[in-house]
Amino acid sequence: MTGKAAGAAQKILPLMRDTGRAIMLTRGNNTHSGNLSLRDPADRDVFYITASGSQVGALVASDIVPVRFSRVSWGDGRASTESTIHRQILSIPGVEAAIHAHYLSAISVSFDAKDVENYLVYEGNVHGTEEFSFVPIDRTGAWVLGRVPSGTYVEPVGSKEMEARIPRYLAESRATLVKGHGPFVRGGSLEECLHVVGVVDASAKLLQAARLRGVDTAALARGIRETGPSAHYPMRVRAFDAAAFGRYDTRDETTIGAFRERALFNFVQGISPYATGSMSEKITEREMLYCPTASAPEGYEISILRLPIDADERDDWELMFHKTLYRDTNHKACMITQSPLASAEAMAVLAERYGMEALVRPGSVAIDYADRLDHPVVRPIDAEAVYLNPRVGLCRWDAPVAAVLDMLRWHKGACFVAGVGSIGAGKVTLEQAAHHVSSGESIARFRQAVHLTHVLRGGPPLQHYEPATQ
Amino acid sequence: MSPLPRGTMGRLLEVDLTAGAARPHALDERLAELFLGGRGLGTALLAERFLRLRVRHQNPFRAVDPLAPENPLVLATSPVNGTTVPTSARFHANFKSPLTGGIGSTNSGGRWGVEFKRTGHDAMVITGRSPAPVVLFVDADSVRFDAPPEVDLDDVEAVTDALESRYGRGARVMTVGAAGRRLARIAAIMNDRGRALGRGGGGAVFGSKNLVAIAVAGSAPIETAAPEALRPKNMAGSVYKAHAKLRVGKLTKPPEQFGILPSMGTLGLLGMLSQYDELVHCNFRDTSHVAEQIERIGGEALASHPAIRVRRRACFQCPIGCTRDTELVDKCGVVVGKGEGPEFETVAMFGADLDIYDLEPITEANYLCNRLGLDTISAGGTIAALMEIFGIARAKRPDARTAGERALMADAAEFVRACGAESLDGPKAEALAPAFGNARALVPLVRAMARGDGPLGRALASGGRRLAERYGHPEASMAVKGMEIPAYDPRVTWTQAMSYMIAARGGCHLQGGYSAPIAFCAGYGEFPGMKSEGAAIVARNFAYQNTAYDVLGVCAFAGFSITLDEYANMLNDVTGLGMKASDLETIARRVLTLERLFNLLCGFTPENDWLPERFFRDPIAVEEGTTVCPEGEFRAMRAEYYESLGWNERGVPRATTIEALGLNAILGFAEFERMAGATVDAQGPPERTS
Repeated sequence: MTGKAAGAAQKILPLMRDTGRAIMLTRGNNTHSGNLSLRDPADRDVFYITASGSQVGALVASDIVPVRFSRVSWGDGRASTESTIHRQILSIPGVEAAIHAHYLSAISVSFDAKDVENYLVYEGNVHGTEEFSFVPIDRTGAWVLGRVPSGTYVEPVGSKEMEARIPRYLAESRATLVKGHGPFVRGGSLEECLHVVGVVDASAKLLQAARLRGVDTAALARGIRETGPSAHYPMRVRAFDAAAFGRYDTRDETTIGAFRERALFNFVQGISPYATGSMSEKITEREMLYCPTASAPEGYEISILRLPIDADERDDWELMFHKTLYRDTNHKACMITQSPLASAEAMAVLAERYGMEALVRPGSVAIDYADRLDHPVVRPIDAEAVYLNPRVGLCRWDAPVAAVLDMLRWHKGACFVAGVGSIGAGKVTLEQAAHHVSSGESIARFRQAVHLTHVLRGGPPLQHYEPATQ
Repeated sequence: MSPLPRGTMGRLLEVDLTAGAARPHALDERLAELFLGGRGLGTALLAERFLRLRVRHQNPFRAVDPLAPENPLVLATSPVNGTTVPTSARFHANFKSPLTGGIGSTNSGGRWGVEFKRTGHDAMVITGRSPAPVVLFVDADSVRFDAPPEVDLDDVEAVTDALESRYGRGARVMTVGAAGRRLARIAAIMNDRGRALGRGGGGAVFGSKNLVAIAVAGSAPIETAAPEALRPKNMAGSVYKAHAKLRVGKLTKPPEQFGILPSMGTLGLLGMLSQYDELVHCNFRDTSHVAEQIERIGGEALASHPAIRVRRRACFQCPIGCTRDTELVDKCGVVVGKGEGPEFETVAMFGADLDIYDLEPITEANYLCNRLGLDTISAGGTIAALMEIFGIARAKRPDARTAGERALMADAAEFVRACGAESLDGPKAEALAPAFGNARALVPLVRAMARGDGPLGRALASGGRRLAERYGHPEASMAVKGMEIPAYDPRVTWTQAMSYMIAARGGCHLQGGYSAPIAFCAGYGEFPGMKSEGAAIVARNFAYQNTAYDVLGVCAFAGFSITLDEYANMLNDVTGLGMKASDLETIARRVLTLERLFNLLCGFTPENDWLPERFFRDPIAVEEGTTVCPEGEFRAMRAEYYESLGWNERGVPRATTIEALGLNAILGFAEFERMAGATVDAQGPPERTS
């Protein structure tokens, strides 16, 4: 490429490349699927989009193509097949970027039927096609996404039908699913789009895992749809703010490196989407270093804030939790992650023990967390987890903070919180907290596998593998 | 032997112009099975007709003069022509080329081919020379040899108007203009006014036969094996699925979705090519264009040009609609010219190549090429060679010029005098001098070329190679096998360079494989333009693909969105055959090998499979630094290409290859050796199935 186009492409290449690579590493695309777009802040008639046939996970400068809103130009000959859809999306006021990816869970849940509603809520026949909603049943998904329209399309690849309907959905929602094809998301920045699309997939993964474990997710979804996320999950999720990242209140390279490494690991392993969760280390009796995300891909900024651990009424739920942990326990490090599999498993175990009403109408079913011997737990079945921690604490999302702290005290710093995720705490290092949330996803995964084998193929039930000891 | 597939009409029309006789007979089932149609069938028929000439010549391939009556002109259609298969209008012409001396092979769209097929014939073989100028008329019931119309026979438009009037509105006309009638070696055969069987000088072959025109008016139905599957609205059918992909492909999707070809015509490719440093400039001196100048001749410029009115049109069964009918208007809005085009190659070769960034003279020159019957690629490439040599000669003192340079200056002086200037000096002559960037010289040069006016006109009409030799600078000819290279600089796209080198008909970007777009369209970063490892195999696979399109009778542009797998499905629904993409590739390999044999018998050697020295010697600047074609690597790539087709290191198809492809039914290996007068290796590696 020459001249002006080449210069502009070089400038935005790092962000596009890092974003594309991030999506690839979290299995959001195969080699050549998906596309990213970004408006040019200087020339409002131009946006940049990945080229057709480019490897989104390994973008080079010539893969970033300028396209005009106002007329056809040479870039249209190279732009993604879905460039016309992006053109419409980017025309929505306030939208500066869009991502389309082929995340596996987001696509998997779109294969549903109106008379079954395993994963989606059927909305009816609109304009001659079946319309569904993906309603996340977890706290992060409910707050970040709300209702995600999920459309069935006659031609679900680059069609005029998609060009007409997708922007309409995205004018009202941050994300939409195309049946069998994957999510389209929009945002004020590419970073925000990465955050949103990651939450879509994590929430879809959670939904699918919960359903396969026997949770009546349809009832949950309808309940959340009727009452709204704030009624079901009163602990507000912090809104994405790109400006919140890039501040470092410590100059210690080891500390910064450690936080970055944990964030990268959680991102790549799918433990938490970008800009979700949080992590911290207590550094003095009165202060902590706090990172407002537990997950970030390479090339993306995090923040490390030096904050007092005194309570502040302006704190969001997660910050409040970190501070309370340090005031009321001996723990030195803490990590909270969306952990879709752990969260789903927690729902399943609670539902098995207390019935679905405990999840759908939590106010109607009290859970006793105070009994040291008989409070809810998740029992790992894999060798490493059993060796390290035969029981993981289990709470519902509305559990008192004190109950969650007890779980962390009683279960070596590991607790699943149904609908919220995984909380890990360490007495010495952040790595200890990281180990808990990481192994939490494995624990949940193995339990699900055994359950499915039992239900579908007559294998032994979970209880057969759960350790007998307390 | 299998019966003829559905979609074929089952008849071949033999026309002997000398005797004034035409005879239909049954299409050879063996040929249909091996070669299917289009370029395949045409090549096979041409080879067979040449072999029959052994009664008169030991090696007729070498002996027959392309402008002699014996040189057959073969026109061939394919089974899918005239059906609902998208872009299924393309037909093929084969002949011995007066430009290259090897096989002539050229393809056209429009409507003529479909209409000819509807006369009940799959192909036509024309031999001989009519004692007087004649119009051949073919319909479903008869073949007639009619008198030419009383109009200016040099004008394609006038002849077409007259014959459409004579034979009725449904009649389609093929003719040549002044260039073909005057036997210009770069003359095109024109059909449907603005469509061209352009490359290789077929127009001269047509004109050498005293043939004024071929008019066809068909009425026969075309039967297919699975008409329901071919119904465009049947969502389970192969045609619907192909259209669905065309609607989504970025080059082919509708204008309201910013598809490049539908929105801007083929000229929409110009801007992209320039962005990726591929676009020819000043006879391949470099590929450096000023962005603002390119914008003045690109697709966007044509769409909004104040002096050019544009109307979009489509070929038969084509949803892309890249054709542009245009009208040139003057400042008062009066139409001063009209016609089809200009297309991408025309603007590239008359514009970018000649350093002319003004669409008006380019469009006018394009109209002239349509009306007088010239191949615009060869015309532009020949003028570029002229301009380069003129620049060299003019820079020298008169007494320092070589004999060839003096001859050029003399011919150029005569040219400008014929245009109304007194001499080569002075402002009026300056405007007409054949120099790079001189837009006002373009139209007069094209006119002189088409008519063969004066020594300069005759030199131009002979093509770039002969012109450059005449004026003592053979290095200025940018041609392969004597046919001018089109717009893509081979130094930037080595796979395309391979195709130029090895394409049987000469410097061609299509028949040897149209791989240049992967550098800017496909985004396959793992295969950059300038890499030798694997390039030969890529080039070969593109050659298979494009040859298959020519055999099928479909347009290469649809291939941006539809694969051979989809085409195979549609072919099967037309014919009832059970072909896969790999079967089409086998047919392609068979055609490529037969073309190769034809050329070898014409006397071609591996030295003809080579690029002009400029590309190996003169690096050009690209974004990554500089690039040139490295000779050693290109020799290796050429050898790999041969090997991948089952040819030996001299590019001679091995006996095992000929046998495996069933070509010994047409030309046995022993027979080939006898005619070639040499022994080639009969042994080779075992045949690999695709």
